[in-house]
Amino acid sequence: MTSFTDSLIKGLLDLGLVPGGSAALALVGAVIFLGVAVFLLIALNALIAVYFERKVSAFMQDRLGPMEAGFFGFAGGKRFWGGIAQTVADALKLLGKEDIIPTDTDRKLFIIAPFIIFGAAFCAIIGIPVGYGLVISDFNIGIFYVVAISSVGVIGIILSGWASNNKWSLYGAMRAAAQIISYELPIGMSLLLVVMVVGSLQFHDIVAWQETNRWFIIHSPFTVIAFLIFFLSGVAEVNRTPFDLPESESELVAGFMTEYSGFRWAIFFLSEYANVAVVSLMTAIVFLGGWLSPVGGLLRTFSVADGWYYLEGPWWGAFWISVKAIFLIFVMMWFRWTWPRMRVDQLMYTAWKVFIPFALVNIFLVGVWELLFA
Amino acid sequence: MSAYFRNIGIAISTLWDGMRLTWKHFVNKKELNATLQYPHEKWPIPERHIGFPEASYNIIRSRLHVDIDNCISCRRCERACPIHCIKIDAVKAPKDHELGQTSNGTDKKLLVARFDIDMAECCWCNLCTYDCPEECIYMVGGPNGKKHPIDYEFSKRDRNDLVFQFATASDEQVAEISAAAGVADPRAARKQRRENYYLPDGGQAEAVDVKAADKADKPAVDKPKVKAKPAEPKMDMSALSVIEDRVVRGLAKKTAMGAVRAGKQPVEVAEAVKAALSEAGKLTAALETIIGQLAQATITQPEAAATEKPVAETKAAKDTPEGEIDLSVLDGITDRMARGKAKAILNRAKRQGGPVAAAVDEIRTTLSGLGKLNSEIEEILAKLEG
Repeated sequence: MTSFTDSLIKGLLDLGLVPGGSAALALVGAVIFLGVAVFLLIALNALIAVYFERKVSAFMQDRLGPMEAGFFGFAGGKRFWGGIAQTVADALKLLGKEDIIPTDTDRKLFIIAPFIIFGAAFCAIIGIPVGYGLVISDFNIGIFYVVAISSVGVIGIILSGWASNNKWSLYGAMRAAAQIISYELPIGMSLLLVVMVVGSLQFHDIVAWQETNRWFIIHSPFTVIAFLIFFLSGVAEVNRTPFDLPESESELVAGFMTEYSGFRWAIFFLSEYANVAVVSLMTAIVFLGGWLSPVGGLLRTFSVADGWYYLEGPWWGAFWISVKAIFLIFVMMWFRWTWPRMRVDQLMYTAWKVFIPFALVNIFLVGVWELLFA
Repeated sequence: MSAYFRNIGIAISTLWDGMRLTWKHFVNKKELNATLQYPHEKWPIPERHIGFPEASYNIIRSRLHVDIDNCISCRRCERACPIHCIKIDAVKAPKDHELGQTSNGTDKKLLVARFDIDMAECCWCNLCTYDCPEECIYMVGGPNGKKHPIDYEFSKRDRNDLVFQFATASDEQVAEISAAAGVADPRAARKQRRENYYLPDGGQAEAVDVKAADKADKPAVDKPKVKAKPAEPKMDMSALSVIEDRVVRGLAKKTAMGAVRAGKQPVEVAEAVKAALSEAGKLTAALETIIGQLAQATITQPEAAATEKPVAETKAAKDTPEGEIDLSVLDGITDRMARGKAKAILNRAKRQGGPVAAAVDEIRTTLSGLGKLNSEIEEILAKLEG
């Protein structure tokens, strides 16, 4: 299994671009190059996702959303991409804003908090493959790594809430801490069931298992429940409605982000949408067959040729996983613009009294299922 | 335990209901979207039926419009405007320049070099429109819908765009006519004024009174002279001021004033005041002595000339030095048309310095050609010749 990093190091050494042929220097070069690439990818993801979110919310509320700012022939008014430059303009505006750090904040923590959150999202993306071999770094404990590293983000949230020296921020941070600790458990348990069946923590192994057997979402009735628990808990992990208590704008102004503005606030935004992408990609890989083509199985029965006709292969894989992830992102937006925000006690009830018991029972029942039918 | 599962069931079904609803809106956005995308789409102006004909009321005052082709630059609107948001510059065209006629058939004698209306200042009082003799300035909307489509928004990106410029005369035309008429080009004057006001470094020149300058470089147009009020006889009524009761004082002064205007003598005035006060039941002995003092006061008669002579005559008399033709002689002609023609001919003769006799002859032939010549006119013309 080769990853982007491996290929890049090999390529740099082969082409003689590294002085002295030092493998360490090649690694540094590859890390810098891929780091910038991932950063740009995250920024692009946020730009498009924010636009998508605004359009989806507008359509669900019988509005039209941004439709005035367009470029490159996209200034199409009511058409879906009519206002595509809106988020670009917003991003430029955010970058041009004054950098405000309130007087009574804990200055150092206030400054580093958004970067911790962003760092967590960034590191999570490193371990997620978007196609066969299309991964920055292929961990053999991929699932464990992503779940663990994405939980680091909550440290940033608590720091930002505490350092802001603002009651809204602190409330938001406390809620975030309680929420993320609670929802880590159902996430872990629903993933555990998959790991139990596959016998590996590596994403490639999980997808390979689904290729030889079937997608996890249709593997057994219990995996459907596991999928729902995982996805909903994932929504809670990234603090989106109906689980957006940490920033619930109708009660806490903007929660832990209240005191942030300009570039730092933009970093929060980048992280939020990066996390959304991470959760969607995780769900797609673990439950929806990852980069496997949904039409491949069908077409194979009719077609004599192989390869392109099945819409398979690494790049088609990247396409299919994107389609699945985008669909899941859309579902998250659908949730957001449909469901009202939960109360804190309802949030805890859902996690501890519904998701966790169901997930526990699920593990047992899947074990039984595997013994009986596998 | 069953309540627990029922709870979960209700949660799932209600959440699903909500999602179905938003999905319905998501896919039906075109049908359900009610927002009017304002600058791109506009509501049609509704038909107006408020129970009586449109022409009989004018409640829509949307914005001012000027049919500049009909404007004779009389500046009545400019004077009528209470906030001076109308700015007009006019150049009087020399005789040989034809500026055409308005749709009412009035000859245009002034070139409109500038007709600016600052709608940001306008208070929609509509006063300018009543004064216009050619009915060429009007509020868009209401019965004027026939003249101009209703412009109910006229929103602009820039405040300065709310200064509507109606004058259509080109720079060359203005320059040419002002040169021919021998007056300063109002545009140049305006430019000069702006340069005086705004110094090159962006600072403002000190003590440049822009409004005064504005007035100063208005082109020479004869202003109609304000008619003097007919003078009235006056009387010293300070004697009455000692009356303490306000009502009585007021009544006494009013009566006295009326009596003086009626041309009565001081004694009669005092009698009239006494009569009025006794009628009102306010007359006392103290008042009688005060009013008695009034009888000693003198009445100042105004200048006889001011009251008796018509204004036009005084003006004519003033304008006519020795040996010049007096146009006011022709004022005796009753027929308006005949008078106008006669005056026009005589005026031209006066300007060109031609002989009066030739002018009188011309008047005779013109008027007889029109069939207006009668004995009255003959008499006046004879007087003019003699």
